[in-house]
Formats: sequence, structure tokens, C-alpha cells
Amino acid sequence: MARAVSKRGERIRTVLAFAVTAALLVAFVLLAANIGGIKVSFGQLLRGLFVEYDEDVAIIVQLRFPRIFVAVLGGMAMAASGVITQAVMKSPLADPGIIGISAGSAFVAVLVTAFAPALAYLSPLFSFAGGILAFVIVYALSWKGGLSPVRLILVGIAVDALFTGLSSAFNQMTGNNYSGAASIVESNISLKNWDDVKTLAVYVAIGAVGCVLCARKCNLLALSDRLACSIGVNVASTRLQVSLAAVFLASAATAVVGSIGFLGLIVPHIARLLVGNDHKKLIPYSALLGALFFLVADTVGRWIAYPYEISVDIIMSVVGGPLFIALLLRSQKYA
Amino acid sequence: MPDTVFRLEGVTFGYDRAVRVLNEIDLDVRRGRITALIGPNGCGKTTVFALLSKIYRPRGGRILFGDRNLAEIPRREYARRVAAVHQYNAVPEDMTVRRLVSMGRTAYHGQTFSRLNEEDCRAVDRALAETHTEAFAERQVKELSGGQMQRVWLALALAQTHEILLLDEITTYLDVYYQYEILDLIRKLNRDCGTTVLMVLHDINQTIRYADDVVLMKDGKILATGGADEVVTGETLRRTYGVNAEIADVRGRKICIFE
Repeated sequence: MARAVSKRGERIRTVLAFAVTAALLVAFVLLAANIGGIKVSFGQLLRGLFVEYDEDVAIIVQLRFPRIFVAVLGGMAMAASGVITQAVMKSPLADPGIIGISAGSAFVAVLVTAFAPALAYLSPLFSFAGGILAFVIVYALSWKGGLSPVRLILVGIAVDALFTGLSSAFNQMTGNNYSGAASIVESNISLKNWDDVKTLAVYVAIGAVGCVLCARKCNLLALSDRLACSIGVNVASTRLQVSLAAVFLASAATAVVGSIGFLGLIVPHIARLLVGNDHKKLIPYSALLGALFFLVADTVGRWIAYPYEISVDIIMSVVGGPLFIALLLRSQKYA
Repeated sequence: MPDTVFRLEGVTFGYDRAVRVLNEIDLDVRRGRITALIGPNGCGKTTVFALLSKIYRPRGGRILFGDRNLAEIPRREYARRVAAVHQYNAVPEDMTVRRLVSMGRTAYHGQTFSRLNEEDCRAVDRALAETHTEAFAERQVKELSGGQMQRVWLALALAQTHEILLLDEITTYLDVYYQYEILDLIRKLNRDCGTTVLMVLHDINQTIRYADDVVLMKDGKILATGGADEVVTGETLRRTYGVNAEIADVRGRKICIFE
């Protein structure tokens, strides 16, 4: 009896976590739409959106909504990619932003944006190639008869530094002239438009399908390799398929919003505490929570030093750095 | 059905090219028997175990499963006939016992979507009952003791299949009571369901008491195979382990006494 109750309690907690996070997300979307030079009332916003033309609302829709949706979609993709990366790497400290996958994607995205701006719609695909490149380097170098979490983080940080440096070098060599490229390097999403939202939405939708296909595989990868082998899982090919989904999501997000560190690390960690380790719940919840985190970070960045702005990446680094250290200290297993 | 389940022919294996862990091993494992694999640390027992659970492939020679080459059998098909309990296992600690045991049904499903069907539920319930783990089926694995956990791993293997079990030092972390409980359970499965068991063991007395066939290994080679009476003697123990031991009859039972 007590067991049945605790099981029900768990389900209630999961439902509650989803509901509260979704409600907070909606609230923050509305709040974020209203921060800045133009302010409209909630009623005016709804009327302007659905009933009649309103100049203020039109400006908000043109300027602020793309940014909000880019934040929501980017946050979803980064967080989901983080969970999946952690499943593949078998380390709760892996994060595409920290181990260089995002940096690899960003570098290629910067090159594409600078040299072939007409291909912007395809830039997530190019950055996918960059992400794969970084992933292969990190994976190959941290493999030594099995994945060592410490090696993984060390190699990842080096690869991240390399690609981040290359992107910055390119950006400075061209005198910050390519504003699109600069916005990726600086993870600045203030000038995003509806085209960016569409691009991101398409790739995030593809990534979401990948997540659905991967959830069960992630659960199988959570078992030790030998166990997974002997219950009939082809570990190497499963890991490859799941990795592709993780890198795809991270790259799609990076191509549009730039490389964001720590988001893919902290969000899944909090999500695990709230909904547990079952990836069928963990991946969608992390995506939701990631959207909220990203949007909050972006909104705070817009508001805290108004009229100046702090980029999401900087906010995430300031909050994420200490949290990352706290996680390292807490899990003796990995440090 | 052939009498031999596994046949190893000239099997050689090394983790590096330079070091040979197994050196041209020939071995037959017979159907419906309990075979114990014994030998000192580092003799290659666990490597044989890993080769048979398809974690590694032999560098030389071949392994036959029935009359087919093991390397050519798809992993899923193999998992429906052969289940293994490994020495070290990692699992998310908030998983319930029932969910973990139902992971044993993975080989009967696709890996993308799938729900447990009635047959799966029956197999899981049966495995839980056989290993006396139903009482804590809804608990999370982090709440279990070592002895309970070891029975859960066995339940997972039984949910997979009753045909062939590979067990790697299944008694190692258990106190004496649970050691004998789990071995009695394995013998019961062997007698009642005809389960073929191949187990890596450390304890000589458990080997004498539970094994039909014994394989004695040292330095990547097989020194002797046969019944416990022939293989486990003072002489062979001295040669392999370098200890002075004597096999004595106590109240009609053979036991090994170390000097």
C-alpha cells in the first residue's frame, strides 16, 4: 500500500513539474514581450495579436517575438542535447557546450555565415558537420578501453578552446564586419528575425523526432555496456545513432544562437532531481526546462543593465560556472 | 539437439597484440549441465566469460554455439537464448526492480518503441518469483542490499531466458547464507528447467558441491576438464594455485581443506 502511494506521489510530482514549468514558460514569454522601450498591457497585446492592428504590438511582434522564440527553441535544443550527450558519454558532467561540440558547430556556422550568407537556411546542416567533427575528436581521444569521464572533460575543454579560439580569430581578422558571424561568436540573439525562428523551428522539429526515437535507446545506454550487450543491445551502433541526435540538436541551436555553455549541463541535472532518470520523461522535461532557463537568462540579460545588454552565454557562464563546480564537488565519482 | 552448447576451437585472445590472455583453448560446454570455470586470478576465466557473452571476439580460433559460429549470430537472437550475469553492473539508481528485470525482455522487442506484452509480464513475474524478489519488486535499486541486488541480476537474466545462463562470480559479494541460497537456486533451475549453467567460481568447496563439470584454468590455458572428483584434487590445486590442500570426506561429503 505504502509503495502504491509513493508511486502515485511520483507521478503527481512529474505532472506537477511539467505543469509548473510550462506555466512559468508562458508567463515569461509574456513578461519578456513587455520588457524594453515599448510597453503594452496584456489586453492590448492580445487585441493587437488577434483582433486589430496596433502599432506598438506590431513592433513587438517584429522585434521581440523572434528573439523570444529563438530563445525558447534554442533552450529546448541545447537542454535535450545535453541529456542525450550525458547518456551517450555515461557522464552527468558532459555537455555539448563544455566538451566542444557547440564550439565546433559554431566555427563552421561562422564560416558559412561569413562566406555564403545566402545559405543561412542550411547553416544548421553545415554546423552539424562541424559538431560531428568535434564529437569524433573528443570521443576518439577520450576512449581508452572505455570512456573515462575525466579524460572526456579534459579533452573536451581543449577542443572547445581550440574551436572557440578559431571562431574568435576569424571574427577579429575580419574586423567584426560580418554581423551575422559576430552574433554567433558572441551568442548574441538580439537581432534575430522571423527567418531565424523558422530555420531553427524546422531543425528543432527534426531533432524532436530524433529524441522520440532515442528515448528508449538512452535508457538502454544507461546500463553498463556489458549488461546492455548481454541483453541483446548492439551498444556501438545504438550509441552512434543516439550521438547523431545529440550533435544534431546542439548544432542546430548553435548555428542560430551561438555556443551556450552550461545550459545542457545544469538543466538536465535539475530535471533528473525532479522527474528521475527515465529518458521518456527526462528528455521532454529537460527541453521544457531548457526553454525556460534560456528565456529567463536572456530576459535577465536584457533587463539587468538596460539599455545595455548582457548575452545569454555570459549569464549562463556566471551562473553555470559555480554550479558546475558544486556538481563536481558533490559527485566524488567523477572528480 | 546437440549435446554440446559451446565449443571453443583453438581460441586465442589478447587485449593488446603483445599479451595473450588466452592461448589456443579447446573446450566443450555440455547442455543441461552446471559447468564451473575455476582458476587463480588472471588465469583468463573472465575473458572466456566475456567471449561467450559476445563482448569480445576471439583473435584466433573460433567459438561454435550449437553448430553455428558465434560471431555470425545476431546479438538479439543470441540474447534470447543466452543470458549473462556480470560481475560489475551499473544502473540508474532510481529504477525500480521490476523495471530493471523487465529490461531482460529487450531482445524480444525493437529498441525504438515497444510496450511489454502479456508474455513479457509473465516472464518477469516468473523470474521475480523464482528468485524470491517479488517482495521488493516496486522498490528502487538503491534501497537494496548486495544480496538482494545479486538476486535481482539473476532475475533479469531469467526474464531473458531459461535456456543458458552465464554467471561471473555471482557469489562474490554475498555472505555465506546468500551464497548458498543463490547456488541452491541455480541448481534448482538446472534440475527443473534443464538450464545449462556456466559459472566462474572462486570457492573450491562450492565447485565441488554444485558443479557437474569443472574446467580448471591457469595462465590462459586449460589444465584439466572433467567431473569435480577428477579435476579438483590436492595435486591439481597445488599445481594451479600453489597451495597445499587436501580433499577430505566428511560425513559423506567431499570438502577441501587448506593446510
